[in-house]
Order: sequence, then C-alpha cells, then structure tokens
Amino acid sequence: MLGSGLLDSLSVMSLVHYIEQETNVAVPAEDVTIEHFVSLAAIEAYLARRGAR
Amino acid sequence: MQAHPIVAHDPDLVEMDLAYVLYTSGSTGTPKGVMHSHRSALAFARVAADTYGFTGDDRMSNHAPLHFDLSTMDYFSSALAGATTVIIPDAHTRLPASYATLIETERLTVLYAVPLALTHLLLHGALEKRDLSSVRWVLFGGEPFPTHHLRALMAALPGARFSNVYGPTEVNGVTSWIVPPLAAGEDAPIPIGQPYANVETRIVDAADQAVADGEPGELLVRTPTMMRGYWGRPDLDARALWSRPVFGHLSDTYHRTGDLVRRRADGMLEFHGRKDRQVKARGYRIELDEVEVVMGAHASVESAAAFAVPDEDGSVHVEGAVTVRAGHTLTLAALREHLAAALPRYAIPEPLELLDAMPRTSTGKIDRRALARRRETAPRHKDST
Repeated sequence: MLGSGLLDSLSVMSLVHYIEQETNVAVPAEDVTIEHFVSLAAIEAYLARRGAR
Repeated sequence: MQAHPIVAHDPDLVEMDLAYVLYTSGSTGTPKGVMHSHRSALAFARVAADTYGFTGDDRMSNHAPLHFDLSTMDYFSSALAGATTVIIPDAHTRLPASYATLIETERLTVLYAVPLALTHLLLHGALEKRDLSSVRWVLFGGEPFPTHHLRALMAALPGARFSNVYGPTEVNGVTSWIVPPLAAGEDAPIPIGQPYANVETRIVDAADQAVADGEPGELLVRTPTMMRGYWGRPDLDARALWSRPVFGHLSDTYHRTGDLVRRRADGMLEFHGRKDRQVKARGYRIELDEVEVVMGAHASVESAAAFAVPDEDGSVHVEGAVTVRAGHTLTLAALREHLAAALPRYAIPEPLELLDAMPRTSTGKIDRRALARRRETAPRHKDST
C-alpha cells in the first residue's frame, strides 16, 4: 500500500482512526510505522499482537 | 607530488549555460520550465551552505521530489560542503513515526522540508520517544508555516535552530529568517526575513515605482541565483524578467516574483500573498490571499483556502474551505461571523466548507485549483440568499 502510493500521510491517519474504531485497539503514534502498515497482512499481524479480536 | 589529473571538458560549455529545467505549476495552471544555469545553481548552493554553516559532518534530510526546488539545496549544498545527503523514502514521509526513527538512527543534523511534512512529524511522529539531539537546523519553505505548529515543533526540538527559507523557483532562495523564540499565544504569520548578502530587493507598485516605507508591493529581485528564463516561453520571460539601468548605461535584470511583500520597521520582509491572486468578482477587487489570512486568523482554523469559481455569466465568485485544528470545534456560522468582522460582505467566501483535509499538490502545497475544479463540477445548488 505504502509502496504503491495508494496512501498519503493524511489517509494513513484516517486508516488508523478507522482501525481504532473497528477493533477497539488503541494504536499509539509510535506504532504507526512502515513495519506495521506496509501491507494488509502486516496490519493484521500487528493487531493480533495487540490483542484485537 | 601527484600530477593534476587531466579532466576532459567541453570547450563550449560555460557556467551561464543550462544545467537543469524545473517544472513549476505556477499559480495559473500551465507548467512552466524554469531554466537554471550552472552559475545560478552553484550560487544558491554556496549561499545556503554559508548561511547555515554546513560542514562535512552534516547529514541532511532529502525528501523533496526532484522537480521541486527544495531538492537543489539537498543535493548541491550538501555536495559543496562535503556533507551527507540522506534520501528519505516516500513511505517514511507518509509515516512520521518511521521518519522520526530514521532521523534518530541516521543521526540527521539538518532537516529541510515543507511545513506540512514538519507538522505531520510534530503531530504524529511520537517525537518524545526519540532522541533527536543530532538535529541542529530545521529549514522550511514552499509555503507559510502556521505559527502555532512552528512554536510547538521548536519546543519539541530544543537543540535545533529554525529558519524560514524563501524564494520562488525562478531565483532559488533569496531571503531567510532565523526564527527567534516565539512567545506563547503569538500566532501572527512569521516573516520571510531579509535578503541574502548578494541579493538586491525592490518593492514596487503597479507602475514599477518604489512603494513608501512599510507599504506592500511586488517584490523584484536581482540575484546571481536567478534563472536564465522559461523553456520555450519568451512571452513569459518578457513578463518575469525586468531590465533596468543600474549604473551609467549598463542595465541588469530583475525577476518579478509576483509575490506581494511588505518591509517591517525592523527590515524583515513579510509575505502578503500572490499578486495574481487578485480577482474581480462582480466588479469588486478581492485579494484572495488577504481573505485566506483572515480565515486562518480564526483560532480554530488549521488551514484555509479561498479561491475563485467561474459563474455561468462569465464573472467569478469567491468560495472557501477550511480545516479545523485538532481538539477544536468550529461551526460555519461562527466562521462567517469572524469573517464579517474583518471583510467586506462581497469578499466573504460563499459557500464555505469545512473539510477533513485539504487537497495538496505533489509538492505539499494547498491545491486551490483542485478545490475550484471540485466546485465547478459539483451540482449547482439553489442560492439561499
């Protein structure tokens, strides 16, 4: 997603907001990193570690 | 002793020749190719390296796209000073927490970016988790830095000095302002500063006569950092390059920046918007940049745009959009009331819109043309007034 230019910094923030609302997992600013958001699989793995159901 | 290496050179190439062409969208929409010479590029590389004292120990952030003239400092000044330039991948610019980590691990000493990128770094970079003590300069340019964000970033990076870098692509950089401590609550726009030593500035009225002290006018500059002209557009050269006697019968060339500035009593120049952002709406002259300044002066407004939208009758009217500061609430009624206190009725944008985010150009500036296009194609709504 990041590599494809699909997301700019503003839509990243909207995505984070959406994820927080949908999963009830708080995503602190320092966790919004390339490793955690480079792909859907990465986001899923990150959320699983954070205990999202 | 070693013999000097023999370097092959082109005997017909001199420093006044073309080095590169930067395409700028300008304010009117048709891209213009700005032709810079080896001389103008090198002159700016020198003035930036001298002003900020770059050395071989510096490590500079480099994230402007190549077509954006911020990149010339990142590439040329760093090479001149023997500094390292660290190309910031796009993904880091989009994810400020990763960018902040990169600043820490790469021990960057100079950050140079558009205010929007620095604002994202401030708001979403989790800066308090990082050791950013390597940073000694934060340079910004391209558009005004909202003062409250600048003050907050200065507080977050107490070891760094900050400078506003101003100059249209046609002349690289021509003024700078080293930011002093900013008092809390002082939200007035910051100045663009004073000209570099080898730059002459003139502030003129519509008849090219010098304005009275403290009056706003168009900024003309004479500088070795100036372009040769526009690629294939002698018509634009004729408008943008202004020849004037400087001594005896000798003339020299000034660039008409199209920017309106005012010289403060302390000699610092203030930016007052673009000259060509004046529109005539239903017979009234309106400075769109002045309207934006008033919109942006509301305590809850994060960013503001005023733009002209064509009417069916061939005239234009002024519309506006704002984004709201985090943690603030703003109603259109409150904003209208604020505008009515400072602007004549014909200059108040209508409709006004609250947006979640401003559309931005590839260089991070507010894309007013996209806003206007969006309105032009929006379904016509009945005017309620």
